[in-house]
Amino acid sequence: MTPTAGTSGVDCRLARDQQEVDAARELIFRSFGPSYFEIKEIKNLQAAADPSEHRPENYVLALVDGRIAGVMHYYPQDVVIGGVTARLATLAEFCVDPAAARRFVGLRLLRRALEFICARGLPICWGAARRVMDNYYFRLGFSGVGAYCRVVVERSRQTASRASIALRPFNPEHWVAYDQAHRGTYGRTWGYIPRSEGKWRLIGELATRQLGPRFAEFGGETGPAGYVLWNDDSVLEAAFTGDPVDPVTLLAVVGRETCRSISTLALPFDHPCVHALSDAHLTLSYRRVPDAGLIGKILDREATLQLMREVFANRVVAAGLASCRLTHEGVTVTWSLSAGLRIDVAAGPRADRWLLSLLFQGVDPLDAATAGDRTWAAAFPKQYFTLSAIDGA
Amino acid sequence: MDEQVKRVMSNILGVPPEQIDENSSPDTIPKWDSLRHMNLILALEQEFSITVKDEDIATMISYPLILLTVRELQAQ
Repeated sequence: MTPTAGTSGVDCRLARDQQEVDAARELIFRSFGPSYFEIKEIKNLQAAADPSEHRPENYVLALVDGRIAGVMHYYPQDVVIGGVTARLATLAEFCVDPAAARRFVGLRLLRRALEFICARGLPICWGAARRVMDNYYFRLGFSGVGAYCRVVVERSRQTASRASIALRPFNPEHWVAYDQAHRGTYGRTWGYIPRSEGKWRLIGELATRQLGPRFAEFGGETGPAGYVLWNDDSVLEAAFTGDPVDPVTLLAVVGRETCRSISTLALPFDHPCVHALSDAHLTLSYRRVPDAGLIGKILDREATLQLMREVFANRVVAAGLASCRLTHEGVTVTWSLSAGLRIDVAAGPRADRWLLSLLFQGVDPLDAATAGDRTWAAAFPKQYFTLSAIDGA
Repeated sequence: MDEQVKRVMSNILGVPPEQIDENSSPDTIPKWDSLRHMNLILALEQEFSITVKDEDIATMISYPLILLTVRELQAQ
């Protein structure tokens, strides 16, 4: 057998102190190449906004010859799913020193990181991944959870909009109002992540210094009635304390403000803007972000099923049903309805993907129970608007 | 089987099959990075109808080791 450099000499462990965290973060900054200084500034602002995300136990290091050659940064995060708060692992940065290339440091590091996360009792990990990494992650048991969807409003409809709303810059004193708008608009969506004051201040700082998505508030005399967050070509967030602003108006106003043509809203299915559009019978298209997407992996299936049972129990009560249970035998997930009807919704490797889809894509479990093995696209009510160009559904 | 494995490696790693030999590894094939390695594992699994254990993925890092693993899995 021919010896190779291979993975020998790669040691993976958690960071032990702040000094190692700092060294790990320096490697992360360097991995961004020419964007080093900008990324360093952004990441340092992020770290200051929530220092708890940067504890040594959140950094898994790969060491080669005693030097840090790879970093997986993750942190526990509360995610609200169907009204139930779950503590999941968010995968943040993952990088390998180019000097250690072709030693499969990343592969070993990722596997070891998943073991550490599992040992901390976090049942699911999730994060964003570039499309080019699909095979890498999917072969290691990750599934696309596809929470990014885009609503594209036809240009002609935008230009036709003459309505106007006044936009004002981020005001740190208004963070409570922003949070109320965010909670009111997104709090019932699936995969809602509550924000701290520090996170709001970070959003404002990044927007003001043009290091992150732009931010504007709008609304009344007594305080903001909502806000909008956008990047170069897409509205990323729109939240309201009261009635939602018509999304066509919103896009037109943001477009005028920025002198750019912005036609896309990246919103969850159950966002009020989507309903406003559907009521207007506009033609929309939903698609995943083409070059990136959310991926997830179930690390503890029993804990994940327990989470789904809690979510499902809430919905059953809300729907006035007597009982409806989620069970699994081996690798088959089954809905059992009170009438004695059993529906096997997913089996084998698809079972995990199904559970993750339910958790992150906002498919209501009751809809899912009747949707059988149809995809979320098929389960979603088409009568409201046209669905087109759905990637990898 | 040897030629079949070489053909799969050739397709994924972009080197002629005749250049794949006992010494072939990421050290000798510059394009053999972690992304291509994962594509190689997927291609081998498809070609030979096998499932490589996750813990073995990072150890299949030379032509002889790949051949050995594929043979073992096919024998099971």
